[in-house]
Amino acid sequence: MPISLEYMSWLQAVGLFALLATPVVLLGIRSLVGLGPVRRWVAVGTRLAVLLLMVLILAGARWQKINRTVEVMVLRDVSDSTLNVTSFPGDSLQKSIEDFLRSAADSKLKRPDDRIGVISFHSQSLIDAIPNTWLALDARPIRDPGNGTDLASAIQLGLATLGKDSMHRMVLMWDGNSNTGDIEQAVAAATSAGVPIDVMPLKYDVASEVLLDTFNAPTWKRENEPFTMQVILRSTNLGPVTGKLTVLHQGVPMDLDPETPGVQSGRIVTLQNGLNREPVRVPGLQSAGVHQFKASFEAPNVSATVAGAGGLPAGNVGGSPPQGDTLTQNNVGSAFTFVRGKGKVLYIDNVPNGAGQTLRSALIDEGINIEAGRTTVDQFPNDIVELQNYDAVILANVPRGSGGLSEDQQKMLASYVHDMGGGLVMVGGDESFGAGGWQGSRLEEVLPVSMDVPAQRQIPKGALVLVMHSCEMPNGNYWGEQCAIKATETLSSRDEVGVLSYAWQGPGGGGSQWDFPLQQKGDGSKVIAAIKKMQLGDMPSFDDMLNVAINGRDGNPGLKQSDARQKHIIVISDGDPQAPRQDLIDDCIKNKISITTITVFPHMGDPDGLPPTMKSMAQQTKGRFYGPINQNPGQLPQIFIKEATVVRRSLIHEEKEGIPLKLSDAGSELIKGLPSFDPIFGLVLTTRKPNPQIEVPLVAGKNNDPLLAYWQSGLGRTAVFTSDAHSRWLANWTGSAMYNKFWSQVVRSVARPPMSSDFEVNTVPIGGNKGRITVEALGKDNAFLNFLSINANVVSPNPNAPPMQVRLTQTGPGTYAGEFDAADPGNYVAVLNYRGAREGSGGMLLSGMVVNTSPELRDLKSNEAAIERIRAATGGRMLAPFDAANANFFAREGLRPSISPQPIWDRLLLVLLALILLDVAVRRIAWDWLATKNLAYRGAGWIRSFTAARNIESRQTLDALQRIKLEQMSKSTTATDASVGNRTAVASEPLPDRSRKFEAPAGVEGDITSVVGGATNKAIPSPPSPKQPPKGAPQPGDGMTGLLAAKKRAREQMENREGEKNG
Amino acid sequence: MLLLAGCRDRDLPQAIWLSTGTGPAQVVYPRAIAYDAPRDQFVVVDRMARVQRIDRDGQFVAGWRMPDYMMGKPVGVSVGPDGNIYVPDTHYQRIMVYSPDGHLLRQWGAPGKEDGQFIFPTDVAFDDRGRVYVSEYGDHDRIQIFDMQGNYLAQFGQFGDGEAAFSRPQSIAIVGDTVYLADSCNHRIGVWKTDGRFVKNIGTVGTAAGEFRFPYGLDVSPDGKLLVTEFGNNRVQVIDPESGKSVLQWGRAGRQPGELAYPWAAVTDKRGRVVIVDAGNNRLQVLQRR
Repeated sequence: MPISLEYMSWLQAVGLFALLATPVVLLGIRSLVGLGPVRRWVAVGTRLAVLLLMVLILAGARWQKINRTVEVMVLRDVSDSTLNVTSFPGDSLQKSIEDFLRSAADSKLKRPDDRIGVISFHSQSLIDAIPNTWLALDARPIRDPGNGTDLASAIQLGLATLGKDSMHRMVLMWDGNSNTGDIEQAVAAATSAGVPIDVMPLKYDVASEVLLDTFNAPTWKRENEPFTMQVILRSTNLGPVTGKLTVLHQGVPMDLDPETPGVQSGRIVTLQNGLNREPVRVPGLQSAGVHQFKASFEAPNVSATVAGAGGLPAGNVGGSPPQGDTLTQNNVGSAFTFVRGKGKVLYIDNVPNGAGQTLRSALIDEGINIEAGRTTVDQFPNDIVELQNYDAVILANVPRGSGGLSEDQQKMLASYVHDMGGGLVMVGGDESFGAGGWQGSRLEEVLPVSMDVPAQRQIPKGALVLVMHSCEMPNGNYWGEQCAIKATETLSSRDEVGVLSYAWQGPGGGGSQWDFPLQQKGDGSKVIAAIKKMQLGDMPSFDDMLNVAINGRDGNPGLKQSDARQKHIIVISDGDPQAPRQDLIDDCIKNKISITTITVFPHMGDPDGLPPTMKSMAQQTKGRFYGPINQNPGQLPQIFIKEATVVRRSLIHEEKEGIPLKLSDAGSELIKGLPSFDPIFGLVLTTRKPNPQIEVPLVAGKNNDPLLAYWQSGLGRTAVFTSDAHSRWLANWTGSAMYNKFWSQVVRSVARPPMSSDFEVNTVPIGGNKGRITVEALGKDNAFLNFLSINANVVSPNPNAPPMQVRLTQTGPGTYAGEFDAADPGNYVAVLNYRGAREGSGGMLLSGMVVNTSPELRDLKSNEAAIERIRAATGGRMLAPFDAANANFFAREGLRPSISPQPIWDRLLLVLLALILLDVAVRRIAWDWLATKNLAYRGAGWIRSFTAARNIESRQTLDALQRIKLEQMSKSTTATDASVGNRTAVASEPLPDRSRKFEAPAGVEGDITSVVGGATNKAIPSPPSPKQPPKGAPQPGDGMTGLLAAKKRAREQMENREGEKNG
Repeated sequence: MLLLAGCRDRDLPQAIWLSTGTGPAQVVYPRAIAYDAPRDQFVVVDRMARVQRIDRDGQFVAGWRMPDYMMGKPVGVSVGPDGNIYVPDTHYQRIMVYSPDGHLLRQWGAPGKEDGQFIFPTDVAFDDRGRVYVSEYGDHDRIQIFDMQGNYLAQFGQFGDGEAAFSRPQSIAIVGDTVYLADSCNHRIGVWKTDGRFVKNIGTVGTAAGEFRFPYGLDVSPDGKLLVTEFGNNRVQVIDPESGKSVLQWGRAGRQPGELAYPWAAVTDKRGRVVIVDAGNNRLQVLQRR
């Protein structure tokens, strides 16, 4: 049906109409008798039409516009597995695909309005070209390297991108291998949307490949307990392939042949077709913690031989498939084993001048096993598995961001504490806590104190102006936003923040404008909302920017008007804008405003790559300059965090006379046996979080600022000491006996308890991008332990992914298992908590596994069955590879016409108004039906006059019929009306030729109408003599009297009719 | 005297050319335009580093892309007296000379501050004697003069905000022996002689008539008036170079027809039409002068 209803079903609409129409018809039949039968039914019909239109308008009637334009969305696989494709016409697969698409989208092969767009996908789907009448492939977005194939999301994105005003088709160029996403659901969505998916398979069958399939190492071993690992290699070569297997332990080559004297760092192995198992014997490991292994098989450099070919290098010999290795990226695998032993503590120290050694020595003296190999910030682990070496981590004066922990590291540390039960001690210093940029971090969430300070403390505030000119770098607006948000998060609520960028319009025209005028940050919501609305313009000059930052504009103050103690400007730019005037720089120096510059993607500069202006601004105002940053923009927020801490120096509270301490909780385990504490000389101000579980055994000064605080955060425990741990602020403590005891108690209080060795835990990757944890629970008497409650937190290699919660279910006597997603390559660490039926029985278990190489690199054959399934399910076509001439992307056959509902209520309303007028007119106006009929005849004649020339034969036929009709009428009546006879005579004559109207033929004389048509020279009948009205009757033209007369006549007729009926 | 279609800023353009995109007759942030009078066509450069030739009705004629663009894209374009297209390849510190159909004929320049080297070349202009003037900025603002083959001849000007100095000369135009330059970061028009003598500055910073904010575009109409495109004020002004007074202004900030966002340049053609590069709106707006 060309009309659809938006707010009602048709049944409801019909019901409503019937409901309203019934009384109209019934009342009309009874009350409109006086109008006569024709008028009455016309009136009723008109009113019904009015009702119908009203119902249609109320029901939201929409006209269904049918679209015939074709829109094609190409889904193009760019995942790593397509590297295996070797059959393509051009230099590379992707270039061949682009050439094919350009040819297939040629304007000769499509209608002008047909559109084509392209989506490329691996684990992430991005629109390369929005659907357009012109295929534009030279403006693709920058994409991250992928790790897998997610066809489902590509199909969903394609469906979401298709417009509603056209018929749709998708073209899928794919190898058939997908390792994430729900393809069935996506295909079902395409099918239900009526979008056929044509497929062009990207075929391959790697016949010569070697890959490291699995590398298994036991999860747990005791110190000095030898064990065996298994390296499983898969070869698809028909013949044997010889290569070298190497295994590294903690980065050092292992001796793979202990029987032979000397270190044999590799083992020559010959692989047969299929799976090959290579055992690797590991002697007893002497140090506790995580031991990581890396195995690799080097095929390209060895004699990849063809059987019987006499050791010839790899190649196609005698037409047989080449032997060897096609992809080398999948020849590497990792594994790790936890070795039980004495726990270790990681102490990371950023204290200047080596003063951090004081605490290190004290802890060692107290018998705490401190990691010797990692001492500085740059040695902090980047891997969650490496952190499992330690029962606790101590950060002394370590900032966040540039020069401190990266975002990934701090998130990993927070997860280590909260999800894996690790311990953390954060020790203060001038680059710690709020002064170190930790406000707003993930790590702050696991600490017992927050970095902000209540407003009533009246500490000096800072003021920060962010100058955003990052639009010239890739994703410049996004990174600008991220940087500004991170810097803002670092500030306290009392600090002032302002955000400046170049805007094309504003109160004073285009120029540097406040995106967020300099003011107190508050809860940060307003400034972050403003940052998210930023539209970074192309800044012509730093002059204007600096002027606004210092002096303000349009009634908004600048840094000169601020009463903040620290005033700082951070500029991010490509360095293109013109340099500022020297007097503005001088103004900065005079007002102690420092400028830090961050150069991104500069267009040129000094030999060090920095534009002179960027360096000069920073150097003159005692700020810092960073860059040039031409890649890895992820470091930018780190720099902003670090630089924002410049204005947070006011959180450092120092008193030369000493700050007295108070014991607020003498019973705490942390200060047990320590009755008194000498004053300290400084600390970083923080605020205790409002949580009753938090212990604050020591507070400082008259405001009772937290000095030592402690709590349980998730599975782990954290303690903070807001002063430092050496001679600057803690001079009264260092060297005393209580110093060592205090710190050893603090560290031991938070350290993770030893892992349980009750059960055997195995975590291994299984198919389908999953991992499985298996626990075999045996009691001390070797009896199965049943009905345990075991929950696991699994941390994936993705630092932004939350830990997965896995509940293990009992699968047999004393056996429990659970599965988790493991699509990303890398290390997975599982921390298991178990509870038994008995009170107090329970503990923690640690396990983990490695997912080696991307699943993409394991697909050695294209999956044509999967491709065919999608084609068949959606009714698409199978396209010949790279055959643009026959691809026929824009064929209409088989496409479901697209229907676009168009609202028509406005047009219906006009018709409704007209009908209402007609409705009134029918009831109120006494129609002269003869006049109406004549009018209709005239109208019909006028219309016919336009078609007479074309339908002359039809006209003659009609005239003949009309003549017969009139003759019959004349016979049946006695009337001898001359006009009727005249009409008959006129009608019997041929019609004049209107085209000759102004072309009188030569020699014609007499009546001109015989030539030009129109009136004839027949005698004009005399007009009928007017009837004389009876004397006293109303005169013509007298309306009221006429109506009265008509009424009288009507009454008489009715009385006559009633009399006839009665008679 | 040049008269645009009325002097009220709400006047609508006669036509709008080009749309957003990377196809023919599509642009992304166009920044420069030149009028090729003998062919009665226009040449437009955008931030996709594409050079497009369009006809007098705004229809695509030909197009090509700069050979390098990762470091940055050109901000100027000119048509030489030889009919070739001169593109100051701003971030590659060179001048590229293309034939009308886009074949690279020659190039000159290198990064640096020496004679014949550039920091950020912005525009190219030609005098009656066949000499090529190149403006540049970036800590070493100056005008260099070359012959048509790119051989260095002379230079003048210096960076600064004093009288005989300029800051980011974004455009230059030459009439006879007078060189006009858009002294954009000093918010004025500099008037010099081709022999390097400073004459005067026109205008000051502001939004009133005769004042400027970041004048980026500069062209001279056949009647000798200056057509100044203001990046900061989102408008085009017609300036009498003798008196320095504004004859009229057109445009205001906005996205609608008749409004501008980040206008970079404007040119006049032989029909008296003014074609404005409305960069932020990814289009050209065409006005008819009376």
